[in-house]
Amino acid sequence: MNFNDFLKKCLMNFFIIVTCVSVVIGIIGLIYEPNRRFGYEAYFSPLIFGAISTISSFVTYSKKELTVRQMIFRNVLQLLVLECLILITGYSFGIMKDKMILTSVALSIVIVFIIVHIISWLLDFKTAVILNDSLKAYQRNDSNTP
Amino acid sequence: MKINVEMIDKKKEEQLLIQCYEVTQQIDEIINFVKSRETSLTAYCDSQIHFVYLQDIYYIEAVDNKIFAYLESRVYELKIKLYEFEELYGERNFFRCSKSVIVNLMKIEFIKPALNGRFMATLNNSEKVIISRQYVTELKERLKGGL
Repeated sequence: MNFNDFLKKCLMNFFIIVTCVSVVIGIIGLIYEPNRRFGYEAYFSPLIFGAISTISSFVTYSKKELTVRQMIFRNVLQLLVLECLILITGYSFGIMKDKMILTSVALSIVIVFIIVHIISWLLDFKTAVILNDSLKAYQRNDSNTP
Repeated sequence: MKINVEMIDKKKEEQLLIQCYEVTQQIDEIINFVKSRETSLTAYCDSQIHFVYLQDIYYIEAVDNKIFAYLESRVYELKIKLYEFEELYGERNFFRCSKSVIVNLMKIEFIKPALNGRFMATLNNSEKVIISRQYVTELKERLKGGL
């Protein structure tokens, strides 16, 4: 994948992550601090966390074609980088001081990470079904079959 | 054996259809004769020169500036550049599926998703080849003619 295609993919992931982070912040907030009120600046936090998450995906970029094993390793590395970046940012800005909130956020990151990959895999699965149907038709129609 | 010759439109591809009760030695000889009339490539294996038929190649891979042709169970080196192979035989069921691999579309059994938007093509001999995301749209277009 060239770098431009990689950036396009990052942009798509950014919007998925922002949506998921908004949902997770809403759920965690309702559970732990349902009466807390925020200013307009709160709207930026999903975007900031979305950007941090997208930046972490740069560890998966490679000019060479990676094997499935190498890709799994890089995805695990991405999850670790992501956890560190978000928890450190949250702790530094005083958003996540409580141990319980830190644990909840860490767990939420894992869940969002898995959801993003499942959605991505489902979309690819749909593409694979279309490709397989087209491939079978192509092979049937081609008279070069030995 | 009854022989039928049917004239077809030039838009269609020529084919030889053998209808038989079983594949005997005689049938094999006919198949080999027809294959020998098809395109073959000069290939190298164990310092020996071989001829490999285009339709027998599963995929072509570039490794360290060398080009290898993978057949069902054997591997041969080709003295041709990957882009040259693509230019010459790209129209004949061969498709560039990643930077270093050209796959024979007729040898793909099925395609399934791999990680990070890539796809994995499982070939008829159970070998697996990665299809890069950047070539997926092109592959869809290429296969569209088959539907």
